[in-house]
Amino acid sequence: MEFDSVRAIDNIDLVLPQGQFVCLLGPSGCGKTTLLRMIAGLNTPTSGEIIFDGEPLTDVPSHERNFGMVFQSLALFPHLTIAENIGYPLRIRGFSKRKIAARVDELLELVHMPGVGNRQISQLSGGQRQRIAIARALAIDPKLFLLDEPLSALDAKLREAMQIELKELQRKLGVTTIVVTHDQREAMTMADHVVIMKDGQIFQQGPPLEVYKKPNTAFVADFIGSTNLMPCRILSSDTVETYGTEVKVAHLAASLKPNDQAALSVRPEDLSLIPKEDAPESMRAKITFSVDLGTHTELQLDHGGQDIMVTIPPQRQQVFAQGEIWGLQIADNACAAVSL
Amino acid sequence: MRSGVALKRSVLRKSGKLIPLYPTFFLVVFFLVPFTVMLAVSFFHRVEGAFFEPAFEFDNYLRFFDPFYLGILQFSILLSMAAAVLATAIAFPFTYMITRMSRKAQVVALVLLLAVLSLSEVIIGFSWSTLLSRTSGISNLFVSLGLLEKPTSYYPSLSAVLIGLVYLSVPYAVLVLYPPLSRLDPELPEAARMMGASPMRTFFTIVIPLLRRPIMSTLILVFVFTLGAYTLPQTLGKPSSWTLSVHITDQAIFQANLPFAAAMAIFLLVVTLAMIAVTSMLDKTKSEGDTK
Amino acid sequence: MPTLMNRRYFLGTSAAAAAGVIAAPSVLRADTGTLKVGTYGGFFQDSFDAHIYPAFTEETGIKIESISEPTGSAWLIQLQAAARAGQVPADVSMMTQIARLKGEKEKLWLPLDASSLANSANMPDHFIHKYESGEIYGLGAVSWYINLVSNTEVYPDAPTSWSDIWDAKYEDSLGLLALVDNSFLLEITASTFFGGTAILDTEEGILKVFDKLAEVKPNVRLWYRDEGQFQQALETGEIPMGQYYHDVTGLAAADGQPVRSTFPKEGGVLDSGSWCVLKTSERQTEAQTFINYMSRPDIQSKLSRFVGTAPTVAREKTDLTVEEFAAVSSDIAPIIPRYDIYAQRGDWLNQKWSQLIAS
Repeated sequence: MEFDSVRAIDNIDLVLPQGQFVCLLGPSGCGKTTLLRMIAGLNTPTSGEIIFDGEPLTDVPSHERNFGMVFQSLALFPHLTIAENIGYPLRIRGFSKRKIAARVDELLELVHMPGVGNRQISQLSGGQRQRIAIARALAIDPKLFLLDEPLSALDAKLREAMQIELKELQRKLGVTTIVVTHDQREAMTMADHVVIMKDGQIFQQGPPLEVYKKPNTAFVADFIGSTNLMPCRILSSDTVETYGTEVKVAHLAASLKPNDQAALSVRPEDLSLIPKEDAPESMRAKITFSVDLGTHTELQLDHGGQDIMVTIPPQRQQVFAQGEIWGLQIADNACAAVSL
Repeated sequence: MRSGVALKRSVLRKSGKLIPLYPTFFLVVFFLVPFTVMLAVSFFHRVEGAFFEPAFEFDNYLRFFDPFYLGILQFSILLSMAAAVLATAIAFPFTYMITRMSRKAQVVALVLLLAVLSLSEVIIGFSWSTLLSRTSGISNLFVSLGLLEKPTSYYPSLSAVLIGLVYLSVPYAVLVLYPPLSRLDPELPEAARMMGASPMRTFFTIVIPLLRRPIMSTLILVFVFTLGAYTLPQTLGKPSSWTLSVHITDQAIFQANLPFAAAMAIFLLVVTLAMIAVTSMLDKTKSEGDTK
Repeated sequence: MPTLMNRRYFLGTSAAAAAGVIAAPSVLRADTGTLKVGTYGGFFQDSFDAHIYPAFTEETGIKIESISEPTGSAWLIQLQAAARAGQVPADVSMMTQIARLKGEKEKLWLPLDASSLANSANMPDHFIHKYESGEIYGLGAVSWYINLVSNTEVYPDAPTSWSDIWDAKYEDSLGLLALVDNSFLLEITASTFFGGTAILDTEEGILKVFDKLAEVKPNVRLWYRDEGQFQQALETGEIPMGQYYHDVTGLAAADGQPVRSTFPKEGGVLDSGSWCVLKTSERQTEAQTFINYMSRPDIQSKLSRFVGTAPTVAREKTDLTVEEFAAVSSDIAPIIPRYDIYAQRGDWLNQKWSQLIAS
C-alpha cells in the first residue's frame, strides 16, 4: 500500500484465527487502519495477497466481500431512518420488505434498542448510534466483522461498558472480528488475539496476556501496560545481569543470545523497595513522587537519572516519603528480557 | 442640551448596528434603485419612433401577452431547465470524482475550471460555432474516423445552443457543488460499499440523496444563469432558438423600446422567482416529510 | 476572430452602454476649447483619430476630443438622458439614420446656421437633414454599402442579383443580418420584386413584401447580429454567401481572404451616418466648422481612401480615380433604405420581422 509515497504497510505476514476477536493495536500512524481497509477492500495493496477462507480476496471489490464494517465516524446515513440504515444492506441484496423488517427488529433487539426503527439518526445519543452502526454491520451475518476505532468517540465510562458488550456480542455470534484501536486497555479487554503494529510492521502478536507477559521488544513491553526498561546483558537463557545484579527472567526474547545487550522490562508491580542498606549502591533510588490510590500506592523514583515506577500493594503499611532513598529489588522469574 | 446628550447616546448605541448597513447600502444602490427604475420604466409610455414618456399604463405588459412572446417565454424556461438538468448531471459526478482525487490533482482540476470561467459568452459562442462548423468542426474528425461520409454542420441549431449553455454553466455548477461534495464524509459511501452496494448504486442511493440540497441550488443557479444568456442563443441558434433575453436585448438596444424591454424583464423576473419559490417549497415539504 | 473587428460593434459595447443609461447618466462635464466628436468605437474611431482629426486641428486650430459611441439606439438614449440633465457627452455625433430621425422627432438636435455650411452644396438632398421648419440640423457624414457577398472558392462565379438569394440552389448557405432595420431586406425585396421601395408606404404593401421575404428563409443558415461571426464564416466558406458590408469585405479580400463583394444589378444598399449636434452643446460655431470641413470633397475622398467609405458628395466633385471609386462605390443606382418606415412603425415592423424569422 502506497500512502502519499510512503509505505504505510510493509511486508506484513499475518494469519488470523477463525472465530476469534482480533485487535490491531498500535500508535496512530502505525498502519493498522490501512491494514483493516485493505482487508475491507477499501485500499488496494501494491503487492501481496489477502486470502480469506482459502480464496484470494485481492481482486474482489469491497461490495462483494460480504463483510460488515463499523467506521470510525460510524457513517450512519443521515437521510435514512434507523430501520432504513440497518435494512440498507438487505435492501441492496433484494430482500423483501417483510423480511427486512423482521431482521431489523431482530438486530435492534440484539443491540438492546428495540422499537426505535422509525426514529432519525439525529435523535440518537453517541452510544445509541454506536449500537445502530454495529447492528447495521451485522445485518447480513457477515463473514468478517471489521471495526475501525469504533469506540473512540465515546466517553470513558460508556466506552468500557461498550467494550464488554461488544465482546459478549462477538462471543454470542461467533463471527471473526477485527478491531482497530490505539487503546491497549481496550485491546486487553476485548481481544482473543492482539496484533501490535508500528511503522507499518507487525511487532508481535498473540493472546493479550501472553503478549503482556512475554514481550519481545522494548516497544511492545512499553506499549502494552507500563513498564520500566533497564539496560541489561544476557547471561544465559534465563538469567540476565542489570546494574551489577543477576536476575532470573520469566521470558527471553527469541532473538537474544548470551552476551547480547538488551533491555529488561520490569513491570511496576514486579519491583519492590527494600532498605537501602540491603541493596547494592547501583540499585538505590530516591523517591520523587508518591500517591496512595487506595487500591495500591504508586511511586516514582529517581534511579541515576532514570525515572522508575513502582506499584506497592496495599497490605504493606509502610509510609514512603518523598526524598527518601530506598533499594530496588527486581522479582525473579517475573520479568522479560527484550530486544531494544 | 439634554436632547443632545440623548442623541449622542443613541448614536453610540447604534454604531454597533452599522455593520448590517453596509450590505443594505449595496442592496439599495445596486439592486433596489435600478430595479425600481426598471419597474417604473416598464409602465411608461412608448413613443413610437422616438423614446418614451413617463406614464402609468399596462400597454407594455399587455403587448407581452401575445402568443408570440408567451411562446418565447415558455421556450426560454424549458431551454434553461434543460440546460440546468444537463449541466448538473454532468457537473455532479465530475465534481464527485474530483473530490475523491488527491489534493494536488484537485487544485489542478479547479484551476483549469477557473480558466474556463474566464471565457466570456462571446468567446464560448465563437469557439463552439467553429467546433460545430462544417469547414473546421468535429464532423471532420468523424469523417476521418469513417463515421461520416462528408463533413456536416451542427450549428445553428437548438442542440448547439444547449451545448453552449451547458458548457457555459458547468464550471459554475462545479464550483457550487465542490464545497458540499468535498465536505461529504468519505466513509459514508465507503460504508455503502461495505454493505454490498456497487459504486453506481452507492452514488444513486447515498451520494445523491445526501446532497439533494446542493443539487437543488445548482439546478436553480444554472436555470437563472442561463435564462439571462443572450449571446449564445443568437450566435449558435436559429431565430426559433432565440430566448426572451435576446428579445429583451433587441428591444432595449436596437429598438430603443426601454418600456417594453423593462416589462419583459420584470415579467421574466417574476416568473423566475415564482418558479424558485415553488421549487424550494416543494423541497421543504419533502424534507419535513423526511423528518417525520 | 477576424483582426478587423467591426466598427458597428454591436454586442459588448452597446449592452454596457445601455446599462449605463439606467445606472448613471453621463458624468461628463463641459470643458474648454475642444470639440467633442463621437464616432462608432473601433475601426471608425481609430481611422478618424489617425487620418482626419489631426489635419482638421492643424487647419482650424480647433482641438478634437474623440468620443467612442456604441451603435444601435444606445447612444441616442444616452444623448437624450444627457440633454435632459443639461450635459454634453459629445457636441457632434455620427448618428445612424434611424437614430437621427428619432432625435429629429424629439428635437434633440441643435438647429445649425446654413450659411456656415457652404459645403452642403456638394451633397444630394437626402444628406441634408432639416426640421419641418426648414432649419438644417445635420449633414451626411459617411456612407457605406451593404452588398451581396460570397466566397470565391465555393462560388467561382459571382452572383449578380439580389434575386439569387431566393435561388433554391443556395439552400442553407446564406448569412443575413438579424434585424429588420439593419438588414434592410424589406427594401431589397421591394426593389428586386416590386419595382422599388414605394410599396413599403403602406402596411398592406409591407405585408406583401414580408410574404415574398419569407420564401428566402430555407436558404438562410445564420441570421447574424455579430459581424465578426459572419465574416469569419464567410472567409472559411462555412457560410459562403450573404449580405455584408462592402468596405470590410474589400479589406478582407485585400488581406487575401477568398471573399468578394458584388454590387447586384438592383443596387447595393447605401446606408449612412450623419453628423448631428446635441441641442445642449455650447460649441455651435466649432461644430459647424467641423461639419462643413467634413463635407469638403477632398476630405470625403480622403475618407474613401483611408476608411473605405463611399463619399457623401457627388462622384465628379471628388478627386477619386476610377479604381479608387470602384473600391468604395458603384455607378449602379443604390437602394436607399426607407428609414422613415422604421421611425413610423418600428415596433410593428420589428414584431412582424421577429415572427417571420423565428417561425
